[in-house]
Amino acid sequence: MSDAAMATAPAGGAHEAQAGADLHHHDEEHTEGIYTIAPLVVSLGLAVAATSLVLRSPLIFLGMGIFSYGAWLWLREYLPTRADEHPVVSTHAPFAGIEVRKVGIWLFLMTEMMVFSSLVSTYVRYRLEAGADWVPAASHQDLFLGSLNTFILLSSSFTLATALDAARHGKQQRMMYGLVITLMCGVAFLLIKAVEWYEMIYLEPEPFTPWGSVEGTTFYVTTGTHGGHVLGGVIVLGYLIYKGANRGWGPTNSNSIEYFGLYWHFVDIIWALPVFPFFYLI
Amino acid sequence: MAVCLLLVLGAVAPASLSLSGGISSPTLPAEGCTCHGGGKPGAVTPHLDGVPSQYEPSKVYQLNISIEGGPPIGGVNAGGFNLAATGGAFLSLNETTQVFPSGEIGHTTAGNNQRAWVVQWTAPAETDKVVDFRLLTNAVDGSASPDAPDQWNRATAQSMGPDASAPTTSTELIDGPTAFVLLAMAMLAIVVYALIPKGWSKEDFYQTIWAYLTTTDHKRVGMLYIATGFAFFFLGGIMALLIRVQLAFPENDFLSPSQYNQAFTMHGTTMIFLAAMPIIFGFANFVVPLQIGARDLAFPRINALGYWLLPAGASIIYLGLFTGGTGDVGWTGYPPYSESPTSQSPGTQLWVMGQVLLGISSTLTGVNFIATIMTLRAPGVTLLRVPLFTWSILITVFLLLLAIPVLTIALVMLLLDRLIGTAFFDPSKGGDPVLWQHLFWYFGHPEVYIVIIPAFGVVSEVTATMARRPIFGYRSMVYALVGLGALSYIVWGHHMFTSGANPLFRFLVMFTTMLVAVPTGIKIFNWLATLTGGALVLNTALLFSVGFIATFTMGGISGMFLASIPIDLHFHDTYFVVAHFHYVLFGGTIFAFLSAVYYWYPKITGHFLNERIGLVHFLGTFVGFNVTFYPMHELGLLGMPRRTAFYVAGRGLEFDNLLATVGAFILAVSSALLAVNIVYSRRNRVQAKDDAWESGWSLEWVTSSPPPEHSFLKIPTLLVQSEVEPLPEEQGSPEANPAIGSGLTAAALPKRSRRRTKGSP
Repeated sequence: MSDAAMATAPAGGAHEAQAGADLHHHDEEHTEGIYTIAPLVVSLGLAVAATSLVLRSPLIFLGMGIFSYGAWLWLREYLPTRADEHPVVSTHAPFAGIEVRKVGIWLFLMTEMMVFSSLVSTYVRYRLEAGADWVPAASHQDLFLGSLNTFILLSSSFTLATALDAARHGKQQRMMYGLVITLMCGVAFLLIKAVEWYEMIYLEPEPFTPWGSVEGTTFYVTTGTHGGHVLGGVIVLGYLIYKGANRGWGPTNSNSIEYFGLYWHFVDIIWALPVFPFFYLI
Repeated sequence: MAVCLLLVLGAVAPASLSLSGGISSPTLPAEGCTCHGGGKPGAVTPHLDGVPSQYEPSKVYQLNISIEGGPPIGGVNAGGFNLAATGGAFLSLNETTQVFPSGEIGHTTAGNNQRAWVVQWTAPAETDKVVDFRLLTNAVDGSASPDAPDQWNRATAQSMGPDASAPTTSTELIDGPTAFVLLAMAMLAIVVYALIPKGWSKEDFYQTIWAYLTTTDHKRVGMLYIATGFAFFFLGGIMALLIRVQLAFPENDFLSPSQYNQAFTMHGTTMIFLAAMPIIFGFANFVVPLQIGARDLAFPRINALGYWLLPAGASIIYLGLFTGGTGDVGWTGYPPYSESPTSQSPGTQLWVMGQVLLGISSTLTGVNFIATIMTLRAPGVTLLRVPLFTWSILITVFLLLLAIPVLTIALVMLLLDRLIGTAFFDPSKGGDPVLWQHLFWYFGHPEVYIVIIPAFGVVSEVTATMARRPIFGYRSMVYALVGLGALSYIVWGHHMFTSGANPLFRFLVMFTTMLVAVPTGIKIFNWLATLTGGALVLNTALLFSVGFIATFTMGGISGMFLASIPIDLHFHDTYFVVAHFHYVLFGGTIFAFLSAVYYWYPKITGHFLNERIGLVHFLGTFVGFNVTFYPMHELGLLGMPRRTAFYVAGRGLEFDNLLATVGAFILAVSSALLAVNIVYSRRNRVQAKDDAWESGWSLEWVTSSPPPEHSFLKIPTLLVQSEVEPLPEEQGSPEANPAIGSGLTAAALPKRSRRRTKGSP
């Protein structure tokens, strides 16, 4: 361990001056490091919540509280003001000219792809083996609600793109409409989902449950994982709207909306391509 | 030393007591009787019916004892039993049973030809007692030959008085060995204490702690990773010693079977996820940004989050120690065992959950490193001028990116099966346990390469630097790495040759697995070619790398044995497999990263590690390693199964097992020398220059040792020789074009360019 480095280290609290980018300064002269306790707090919260979940302890709320506090610590330096973004751009092929954050989001989406691939291949494996014996989830549910959800989710991608366009052109009100409608679509999707699940588990004469059969298990866990992603997106949308309400987005710093959009469209496509047809149509 | 002495004593003492005796012997192995020679424990189900959950004082109860399963009955004898209780009194009802002087009850000669008995038990007069019953049974085929397929097992029951307080659940802390673990912790604390510089005030101390808790600097996060990794390497080593002590003697009872299961599960999980991967990511964190000329990773905060999820996940995994036992399902966690009613301890749940957090951590790390290496290279650092260690990390993180999410989601499925009873791997609901094997090994095989490919990178750096010449065949090394990465995704089925998979599938993965030898062979011959004719500097770093080449080659060759289906069917789940993967993981990854410790230590701290202690460290590790793991090949050939707490005497297994245990202690002592070396070198500093080895080929040797806060005072530019105009003072210098062939560009460049780097200090 380096004594020299320790001795010169500031005792924490110095934040990156530049808002809106989780990036270091590639070419700047100042040598002040980023010090933040947020990652530690977020991990602690996750650890407490995960342990409580497994041990079925009410401490899970404490864990979620710590996690939220950590997330707030993480985001607060980006929240208050609207600052121009100074995107760190890749100088090398194959991503020359592309912002590093965008590369990061695409890589993250690759990992998400693997998550859904695992779930869908599990489904395909059981379905092919069962053949004609398979009782499709579609036979238990209302195709109308499923189609409605597809419509809502696809529309929300459009409204988010509208919001980004508005932000790029500095049209504050249109952007806010776009973001809020997107959020409402996400919430509506989750509510319809909840109604659907409730009906199938509790109201049907022969309940279709996650713990009854592989048909139920694959249906609930795959759509549940997707729903979890929608929920995560809704929470991030809340942050985008909060910052937008404080006039936080403008023509010079709206890249964050674009990158969130990549995630949101991905969740949308996952619904439209494997999940909806596999569980509702066939 | 003292710890080792204690461990040896602890190993010898219980062994002297564990004489194999008859079914009424006072010292019985935990599973029950071994009085009839061969056979195996746990294959029959004993039943003890009639024990009341709450007894009435002094009431007489009739207890029915029976054995389910077992070999077909023939000859004169069929089975026997022994029943003990911590309270009350037994009474024999007929001539088939007898009460022993100890108060236990068992069968008589007349009752030896049956598998069910009836006895009476009088409850104690006290109203507040908790009575534990322990039933041992064995089922025999009556042939009385030493190889008879006899089977035995035990059962327990409990009866409480009306006023007894609820019994505390017996905690399966690793109790006997707890003292060793605590001693080990104390040693770790002493090392940490010894590392605190003299003359530090409390403020210095708190300030440093706070700086490390809040840091996002890749160098500090790297140091945290490395320190955490080695701490868990130490803990996993303690687990290994527990296993080896248990196996030192036949039928040893140092650990109970349950403790043994916990010990090997935690050993595997700790070594892979909490030791090897953190050490790798520690060095990757420290070195990769320096090698590509970046100030930090692409997402420093996310990097810190990735690190902090590691202690979080690790504590959840180890929390099981305090909830009645840690995970005990093996590091692979195969269902149906991992979902069976016998494996419902919260420890296994916590073990799964902790790994989910580690999976998130690795995923974030993967994203971060790819983004960094692909986008933040300094001017001039094109992909084919990136040093081989960074290349190996790039391939590794690609594997992480595509493999770890699969494990994470499979673990979530397992957790859901256990927590809310979903049907993923539960055959009674239509699920398929083999699906877990596919998902697990789809992750698991790339995981093996995740821990070995960075080792290739380290060895490439060390051999080139210490041979004072560029790496031989840089491009072929890069292509071999890429090839290995691609192959790693299509070989997972070789872990499942015995699972009844489709023969065509098995044949294909056998073929692809054998293909792996090609890129690996390219690498080994390139290292040898680099060393041949180089001006070798035989220091500890190079010794570990050369040791790596030797042991890894052996591990690779035994891997080719296992890749062949007919041989694997025979070797599956024997110690041959254990020997193989320790030769590649310990002899491979750990040797390479010990080499990395000696190689990059001067860059990280600014001073060298002591070479004399280093030499002893290497020799002890190399000898200890081979003495430990070479005999396991033989044990595997003799058919000794993995994950089994006992083996019987007289099958030729004793000597090799004892030898392996002795080797494990040599390994433990020599590993402790690393800590000694760090403390010693810190007190007797030998300062290192920026280019500590005076022949470094890559950009990390351009910056100071240790590097400044933001890694480089000014970002360097890497130039190839043809791009460099000779500086005025170098004109006409004879070294303008040294012995670098005209075809060779990339690998040789950093050194040449270093002296002509624009803006380097």
